[in-house]
Amino acid sequence: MSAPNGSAPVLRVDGLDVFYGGIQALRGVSLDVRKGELVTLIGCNGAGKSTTLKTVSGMLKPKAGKVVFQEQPIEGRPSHDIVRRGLALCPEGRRIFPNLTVDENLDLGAYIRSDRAEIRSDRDKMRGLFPILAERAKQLAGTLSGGEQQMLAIARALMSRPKLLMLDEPSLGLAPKLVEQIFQVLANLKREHVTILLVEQNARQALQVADRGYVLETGRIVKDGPARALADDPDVRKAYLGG
Amino acid sequence: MDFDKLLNFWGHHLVMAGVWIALALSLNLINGFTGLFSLGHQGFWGVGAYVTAVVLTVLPAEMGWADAGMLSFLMTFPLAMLVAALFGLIVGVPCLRMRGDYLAIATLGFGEIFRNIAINSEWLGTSQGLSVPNVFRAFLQEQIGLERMAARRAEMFFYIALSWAVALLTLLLLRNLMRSAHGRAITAIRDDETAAELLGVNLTRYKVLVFVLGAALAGLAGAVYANYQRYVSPNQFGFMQGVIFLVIVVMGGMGSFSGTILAALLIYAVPVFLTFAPDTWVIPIFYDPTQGGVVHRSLKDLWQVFFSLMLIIVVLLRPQGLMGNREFSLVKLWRRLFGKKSESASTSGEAGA
Repeated sequence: MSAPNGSAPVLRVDGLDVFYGGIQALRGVSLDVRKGELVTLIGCNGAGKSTTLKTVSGMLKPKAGKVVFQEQPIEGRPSHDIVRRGLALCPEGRRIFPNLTVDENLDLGAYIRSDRAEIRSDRDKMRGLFPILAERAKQLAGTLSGGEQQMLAIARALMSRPKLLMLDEPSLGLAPKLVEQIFQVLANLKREHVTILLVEQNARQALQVADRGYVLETGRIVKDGPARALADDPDVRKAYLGG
Repeated sequence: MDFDKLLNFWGHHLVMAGVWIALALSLNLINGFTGLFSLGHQGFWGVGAYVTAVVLTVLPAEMGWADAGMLSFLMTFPLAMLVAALFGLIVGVPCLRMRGDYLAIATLGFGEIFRNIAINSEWLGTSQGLSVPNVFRAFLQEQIGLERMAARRAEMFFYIALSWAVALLTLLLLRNLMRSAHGRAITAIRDDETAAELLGVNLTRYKVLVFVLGAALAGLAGAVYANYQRYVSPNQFGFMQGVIFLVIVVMGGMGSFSGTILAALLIYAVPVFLTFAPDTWVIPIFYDPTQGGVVHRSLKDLWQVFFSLMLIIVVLLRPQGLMGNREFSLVKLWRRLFGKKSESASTSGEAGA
């Protein structure tokens, strides 16, 4: 809401250095995400994609660098505070609450909100977006299949009405058909103007759905640009798209 | 048997059972519902009991006040809660800011430190303990004008009612907490801390809140206990007592109120009923030729064996505890027993899931 002209980025990451003990995981990572964009961060295992998201969401503290969200510095703030500012992370491995029902999981997604009527209408909206969640509303979330759990995790993150949704490997460990479904969901969300930062190992499909992309290698951004240009880049093709 | 003897025997056990239920419930909030691991519940219980003794015995003597009256008696309950909560805050805040099992070690330490301070402090009565004046009986005899026997009976009924009222208060408070939005946040913390925090749940705040509330409720039970028992001493609040509360929580089901109540009653009642076993009921314990072969012991002395046996059986057959994380409900029971086939099938399906 604070950047109606869309010129100031929703999220700006500037020169991020992050360490795990003595090991440096990120080296001067900079990126930005504008309103309504779907930006993807691709790279191999251990390149620092998840580290980037964890740092932005407050689970890790950077040694140096800035994270600016809606023109407010948020680096080093606790996660629960960052969520309240409108930045939601749908974590790797889904992390739904298996012993709660699907509906209870969704309600927890709206934990930071108190507008009951709106929450209810958002829940209905999620059921429209993910029909499976309506079918399984009263079922324990642990009984859902992997793909259904991923849908629930995304819906739960959306229930906080984020101004930016960050997704960490939503296609991880899913059958090819379900991966297809997840990317269809992302395309739908983009059509609804949800601003998304997507981390994926599945570079081919991530670049198909994204507006822009960044390529991360051993903690450094080595390339960035429009998704289509990246998909056509010979180096990217060779390294991530199988030639 | 005459009425007063019965009342003394069963009344005592009813009061103590109520105290145990209250303590086990508040421990289940911390260990079962929130997934923290406290080993110091007996310490907070002891703090509440000692606060009561200090208010009614030590302070009047030290300050040269008149003997404690009804007002002091009534004040012991909120004061015990407050001081126990304060200790909960002091122990909890540094540990609960971190992840992992620091709390277990710190609470274990707290329980022992508290006990050792009491043992080594003249003003807390050292290992002899402190006696607590029977303020309520004095009130009944002097203010109400009851005669001695009537006052004794009234006092026993009062403490039965008080201890069960405290157990009920604890139950209602915790049940309402768990049914609120806060309760859902607490459940989320237990199931997955990281996911909870990513939804905006302030982990430290909730953990401290739960821990301090649990400590305060243990303190309240301590005040009831000290006023009833009229005596506090360090070895009443030893580590093994805390282990028994922990066993009750595990046995009843981490995250079930009805399971906790059931287990507390069971574990309290078994040794009580064993005292009725006739002396001729003996079982062979070990073989020792110097004592003339096989040595027998009366069932009366073997409650610890039953205690261990019950625990082994529960852990083998129902590792999730008697009730798991479900609650006993008359409505559900009715449906299961008398409901239509389809209904009972759907409820058991839910339970199995």
